[in-house]
Amino acid sequence: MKVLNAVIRFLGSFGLAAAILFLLTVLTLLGTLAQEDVGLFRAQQAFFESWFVDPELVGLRLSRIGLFDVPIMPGGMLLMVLLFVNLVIGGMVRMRLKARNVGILITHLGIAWLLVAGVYKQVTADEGGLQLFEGEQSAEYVSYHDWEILVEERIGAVAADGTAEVKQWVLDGDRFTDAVGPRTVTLHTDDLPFRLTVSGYLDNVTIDRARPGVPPATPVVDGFFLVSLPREKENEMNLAGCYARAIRADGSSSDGILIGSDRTLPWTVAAEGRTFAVKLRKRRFDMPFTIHLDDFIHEYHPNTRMAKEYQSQVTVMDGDQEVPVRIRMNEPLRRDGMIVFQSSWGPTNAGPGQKLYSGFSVVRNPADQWPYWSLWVITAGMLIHFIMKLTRFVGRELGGKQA
Amino acid sequence: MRALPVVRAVLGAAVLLWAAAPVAVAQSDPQADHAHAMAGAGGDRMPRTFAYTPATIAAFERLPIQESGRVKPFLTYSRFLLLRLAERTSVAVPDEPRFGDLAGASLEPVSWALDVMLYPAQADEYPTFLIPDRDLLDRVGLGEAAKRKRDRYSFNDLRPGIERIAQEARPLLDKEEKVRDRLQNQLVYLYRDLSDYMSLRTAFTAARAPFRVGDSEVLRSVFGDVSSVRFADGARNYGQLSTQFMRLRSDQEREAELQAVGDFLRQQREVADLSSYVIWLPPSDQRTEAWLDLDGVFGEIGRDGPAAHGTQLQAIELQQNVADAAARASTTSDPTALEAAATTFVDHVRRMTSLRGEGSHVDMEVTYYRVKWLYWALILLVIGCVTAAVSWAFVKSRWPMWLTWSAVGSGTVMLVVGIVYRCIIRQRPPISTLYETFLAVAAGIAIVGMVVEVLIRRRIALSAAAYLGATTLWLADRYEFMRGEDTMPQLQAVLDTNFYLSIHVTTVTLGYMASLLAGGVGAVYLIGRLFSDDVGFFQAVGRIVYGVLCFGLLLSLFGTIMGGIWANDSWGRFWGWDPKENGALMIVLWQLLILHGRMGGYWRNWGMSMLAVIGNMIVAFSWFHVNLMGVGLHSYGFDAGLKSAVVTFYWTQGAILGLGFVAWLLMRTRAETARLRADATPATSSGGA
Repeated sequence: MKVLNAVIRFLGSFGLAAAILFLLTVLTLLGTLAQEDVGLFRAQQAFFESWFVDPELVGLRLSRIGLFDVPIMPGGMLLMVLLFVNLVIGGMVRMRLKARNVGILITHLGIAWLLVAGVYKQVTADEGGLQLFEGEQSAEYVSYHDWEILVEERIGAVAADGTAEVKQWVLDGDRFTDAVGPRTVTLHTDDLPFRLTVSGYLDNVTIDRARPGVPPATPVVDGFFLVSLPREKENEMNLAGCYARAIRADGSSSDGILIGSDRTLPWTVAAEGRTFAVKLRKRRFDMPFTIHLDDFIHEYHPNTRMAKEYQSQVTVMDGDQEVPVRIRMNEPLRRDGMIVFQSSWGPTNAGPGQKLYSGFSVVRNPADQWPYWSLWVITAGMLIHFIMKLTRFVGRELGGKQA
Repeated sequence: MRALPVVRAVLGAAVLLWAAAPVAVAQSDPQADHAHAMAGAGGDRMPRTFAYTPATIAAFERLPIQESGRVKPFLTYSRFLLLRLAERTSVAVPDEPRFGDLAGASLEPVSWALDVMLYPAQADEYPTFLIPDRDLLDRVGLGEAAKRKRDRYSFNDLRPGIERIAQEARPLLDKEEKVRDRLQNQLVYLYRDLSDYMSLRTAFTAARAPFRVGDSEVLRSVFGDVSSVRFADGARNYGQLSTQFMRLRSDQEREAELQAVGDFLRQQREVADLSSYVIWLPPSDQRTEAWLDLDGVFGEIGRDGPAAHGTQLQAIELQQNVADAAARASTTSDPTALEAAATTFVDHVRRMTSLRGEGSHVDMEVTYYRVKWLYWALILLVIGCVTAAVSWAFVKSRWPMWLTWSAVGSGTVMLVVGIVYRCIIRQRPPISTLYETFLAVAAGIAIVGMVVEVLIRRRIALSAAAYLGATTLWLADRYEFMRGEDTMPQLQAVLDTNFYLSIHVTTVTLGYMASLLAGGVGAVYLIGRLFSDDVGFFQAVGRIVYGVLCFGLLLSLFGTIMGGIWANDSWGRFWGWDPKENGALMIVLWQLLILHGRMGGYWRNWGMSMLAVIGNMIVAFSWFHVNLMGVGLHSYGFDAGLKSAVVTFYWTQGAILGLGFVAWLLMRTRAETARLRADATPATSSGGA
């Protein structure tokens, strides 16, 4: 019990709070500077979404400014969990309930709520993008960072416009991205007459033709092999790639290469008299409604190329309902837990009369408005606390002077 | 934000090359030769032999023009152009006999701009261009013309190197500023400056130029029996001439006529193009936001006919009258006719502008720059610094403190009035640009400093208000001079929200202010401890640091979370670990660290002051340093020119920390001495940080 009390005292102490705040400041500084070297996405993963920071990344920065290497550095996740624990124990549970502490208590409640909102979003939210030309519509959006393996089979005749009805299977989320180095991952669904074994997953690749006398570092399939490229700073620019082996029920197999590019043809697999196309593509998410882009308007400030405004007039189709909505910068569409933001447009070099597309960011975030409400809780708490302190101080000063 | 001038520079390249090699062009291109000859024929070689009347200057100051997407007075345009070129707001006419009565005169921006437009040959002699690096002159083959380091160069000094400047600079325009080396950047800036100068120089070319009618039957049938016509005549008949031209193209027997009409039309378009960089012509169509350049007039008249654009054509004629009056004034030395022509022209353009419901704040903007609110605020705050210093030297005398109160108070009023002026002119909250953050921080420091001084009458807060306020306002002044760009620009689409601008940006900036004030007072504590051991005084200083930090935490935390909420509405995420967001977070974390450590008893006044000074560095990192990184979504704030200033600031704060450490050693020594004395002679003692 004594030890438990000591641990609780330590976890709720000012000392731990100060240490966490100091380390968080340093971590934020290093994670910010590292963005120059490795880009935002990787710095975010390495510094702020990790339990411990890769010492090499920390050292990279510190050695640049002439400091020593750090063997171990707690990451953002660890520090924020500790901060939450410290806040709850020291700033709420163990805090003495007095009138003068009310403001602090409310502030801590608000900050705890904000931290919970961050974690909840991290766990539950999906985000991606959607591009629509005027007249187009969509009920799905595309992840910026995550990949998926899609298997397609044509089940109807090809129509006059070249389209055909297809059946699609998405294989087991993003588990295949673990197939790095010697590891393999097997994906399977009962509807398919084959299982897929993925190996040699790489974050950023190009494909090359094998040449006699030059043995490649990766396996060669049908005369081609994957070449690993350095990761781009802008994560959206990376093209993932992997090797796949389709193993049929009769034990026979065929090998293929998958690249996350629209410009390469899908790998075809034949099994039990059926033909399947296998693709690596950015992950798709469904929306609970369809968005139809009616009109896109963009304006420059007069006689300049500086964007003044761009906005999309869309129709939200939800069952029988059709609702006209305007989406513009700082005025997103919020509906059914989805938030759709105006983010870009193009082609930027479009000529007069040429159709434009509107780019949207789409987020599914159940905690979307939590920071907003926590802000007011925090502000109320701080105002109560500081006004009480100021009143006491002024009273003391004036009292002192009058005396 | 640098992209715009670069685009303008690209557009101005033709003008620049035209100016650089008139002889070569004339030999190779008869049409260009003709345009050049005409541009000179209307009087651009004439000298100015008189002083502009105040009414002429006042009229042109108030001329509305559309530049960088907004309607602004000509004073603003000429002021910032001159700042960019010369890093000054005046130009000195060389003190040489050939400049007559003007020799040695100092020209304000509008006088200078009028000379460049109306008397370009003379203005080309004025030392206008600041070239900070001699290596640049060597690089473009002008090494022999090099002067002393901060001397300015005239356009004629640089003219022999213009072609080479253009050749070397143009391939660099596509590269980002941060990947170009120092000399390359200077080359690009010089190229841009020369282009902008030429844009102004050719603003009246169309108004001056005569267009030859010659023996062409078609031209004579349109214009009558004249040898030449003016630009407005040609523009008025543009539709008719274009129709005639199209007919002549199918008539093989009238090739000479086709040639004559074609030449006439082409020359008009070429000269219009040269004069199209200063845009002062509001369009007739109320729905069209973009004002017309002279070349655009042809399209409008060709489409709607001259009757629909009578006011535009009248404005062009009135501009021609100004050019004529300027030429006459050169020979008669009588400026009254020019005054009348200028007033009529400007009044006409202002009426057109007003009818469109635009330019309602042009006069206010002129007043803003004429009265120089911020300049006087700076002067008063500097006086406040001096009187504050005197008040510390003569502690028992009250009048230095009253003078300090008066100077800081009136300086703050001037500053706030200046900020209010800007808000009204821009129809925006006080802070929407990096420049305006300086003004808000200076005003905030001064106001909070005075309030704290009322609460804790120790002269510390008021002195800090004077010093930090003056320093911040001086930095604003330097920033404006360094950038040489309009400090009231249009905003990018994402910033076009007065709600978030007024709440998030204002509170975050005031959070910077509070942190800096706390750090500034903390520095007073650390340095003061070197010289004094007045316990009561330093406890008061500690209370100020603590109080201001609490206030700063409230602002910084609110502003940072509000920024996240704005980002959630603009970019689809509350927090994206963007450098600017991280900078704001670091300020909040550091303030929390200081306050929690103090509550936990880990540090008292000395430690809190040391940490508050480190807080200054964090503020500088968040305010400016992240802008130098060129990473993230806050790209509208990037500015490479601030790097050396930021690094210098870090060093100064490091030096203060060093002094703070020395102070700590002294404090320990004093405490030890006191302890030894107390041991030797039993008595009570107190003190410490």
